[in-house]
Amino acid sequence: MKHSDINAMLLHAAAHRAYRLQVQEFNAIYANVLDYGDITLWPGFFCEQPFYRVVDSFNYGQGMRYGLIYCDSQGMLMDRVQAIKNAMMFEPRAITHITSDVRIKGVDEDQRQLQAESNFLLVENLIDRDPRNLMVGRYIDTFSLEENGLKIKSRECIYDSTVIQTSLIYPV
Amino acid sequence: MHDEPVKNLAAADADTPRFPAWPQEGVSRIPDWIYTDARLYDEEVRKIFHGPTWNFVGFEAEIPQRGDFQRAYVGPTPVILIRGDQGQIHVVQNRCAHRGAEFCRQRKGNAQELTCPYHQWQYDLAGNLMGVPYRRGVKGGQGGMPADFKLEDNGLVKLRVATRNGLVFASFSDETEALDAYLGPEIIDAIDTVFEGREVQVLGYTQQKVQGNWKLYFENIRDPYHATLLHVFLHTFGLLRADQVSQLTVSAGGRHAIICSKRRDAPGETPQPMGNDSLQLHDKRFLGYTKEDRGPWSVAIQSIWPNFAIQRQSNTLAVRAIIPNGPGEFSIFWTFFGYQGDSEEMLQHRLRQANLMGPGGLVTADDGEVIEFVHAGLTRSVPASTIIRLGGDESGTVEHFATESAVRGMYANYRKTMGI
Repeated sequence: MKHSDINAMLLHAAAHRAYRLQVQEFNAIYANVLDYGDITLWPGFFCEQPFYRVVDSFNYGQGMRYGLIYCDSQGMLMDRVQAIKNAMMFEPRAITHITSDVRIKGVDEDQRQLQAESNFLLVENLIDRDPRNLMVGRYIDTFSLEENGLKIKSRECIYDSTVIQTSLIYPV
Repeated sequence: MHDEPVKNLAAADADTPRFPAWPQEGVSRIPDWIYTDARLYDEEVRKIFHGPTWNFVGFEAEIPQRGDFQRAYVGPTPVILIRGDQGQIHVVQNRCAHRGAEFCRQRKGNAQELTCPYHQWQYDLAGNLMGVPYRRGVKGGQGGMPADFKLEDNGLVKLRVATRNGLVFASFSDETEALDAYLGPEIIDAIDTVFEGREVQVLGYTQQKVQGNWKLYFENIRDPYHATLLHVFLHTFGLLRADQVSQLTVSAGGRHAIICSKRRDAPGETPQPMGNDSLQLHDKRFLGYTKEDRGPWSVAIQSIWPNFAIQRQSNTLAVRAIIPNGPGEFSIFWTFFGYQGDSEEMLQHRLRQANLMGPGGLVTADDGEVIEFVHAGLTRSVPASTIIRLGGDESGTVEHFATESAVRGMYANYRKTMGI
């Protein structure tokens, strides 16, 4: 990579500080709802016709379309939430999302859509066990910039950790 | 991962039996030590996975071109699946003949030959040793391999390979019977129903690790008793209910099994509402079902001894390879697929319906969870045995789900193989 490329990236980041802060705030609230809040609010972070997928970086790199979680409607997000609440059996757990390092990848000309990436680490706690690293990776997002804030148009949760320890119950 | 004590109940003294006696009730009772004993686990690897069994290692469609390779496992043992020079399929152990390095660290790729990075030993696509650096020494004969070192005696360990309808199986043993005889007529028919005349299109992979003994998973995939009870999602939304037309097939000797059932909205059945008063789907597309094979069933889960499951639930298709990592841990490698020629609409439907399965599946996440409950119970309590008596004490094919017949069959076959 050329030195000028690094300069360009730094300038780009500096020019988009306000957006970066906005995505950072969004991620903090999103994670807080999943970890400590009311999970039925989760679909509300998304647009009407969203795309949400959780998949590892190997599949992503190979262009595989499969997702461990794959939702292409608000209804599917709601169905996952109601399954978690009423139709799945799992050991109770506490999960903490650590999200960081927001990068603004692009803003479209009429400033209605925003592409961003950020990193996540999910730490899971089960009964009588030490905390474990459930998943580590990055969000690849397209946000819709709406009057009352950001909504997710597309969120791909690409994890590098490859192996799922036992199960993935809650959304990333 | 938590540390857990491994009960080693096997006596070291040669005069005493290798393992405690199996309960006198036979396969209706399963002793705890078969899930926890480390010496028994080593024998399982030797007698089952390295013994006369056929193990699923992948699809032919995953390595279409000469030199395409993919990592896989036979039991806990890493192997490489490779497409050879003439299009034939090779399976070799992922272990350099020289110093034992598990040298292939890429999940899949394409190569002209296989090279271990340590000392650059080089093998052809069939696993034959082609070259050894400094074999003739340096500076005209200093050092080098002794004259009696022969390339042809030092290749990679080659496994036997057999295929059916694009599924690739491998075996370490020369004594394994022919694949069709090993599978038997019921499994052959079930495999052909899914794969005959169709080319697989892989949609993606996922890997899951469970803290439990591998046999608990193999029981699970042939146990219809839990399916309508543990999996609230299945019966709530009518994918599987105890009163549906069902069949549990157990092959000769209990080796393989198939759980089959027919949704109430399947062709020829009386529809019944999906969901109930408190639970309705918001997106009903997700559970849709288009019949796409000649079989009568809307769900069929085949468990093929000792490492393989083929899952067809409505339109979500996947194969699962089971990899034991010791007595207290196993992995499941899931491969989701559709068929070449699927419409875009069908592909999207399969991708949506895949939410039912895998480690994040609305149905199958339950299984990994509950197996850890069972393994913890078996490992951390006063040693005892567990009960497999639903449907009587016999094993065989029945046309209902109120039975653990196939689990008894599995242990009849297991006891014979293991000599315990």
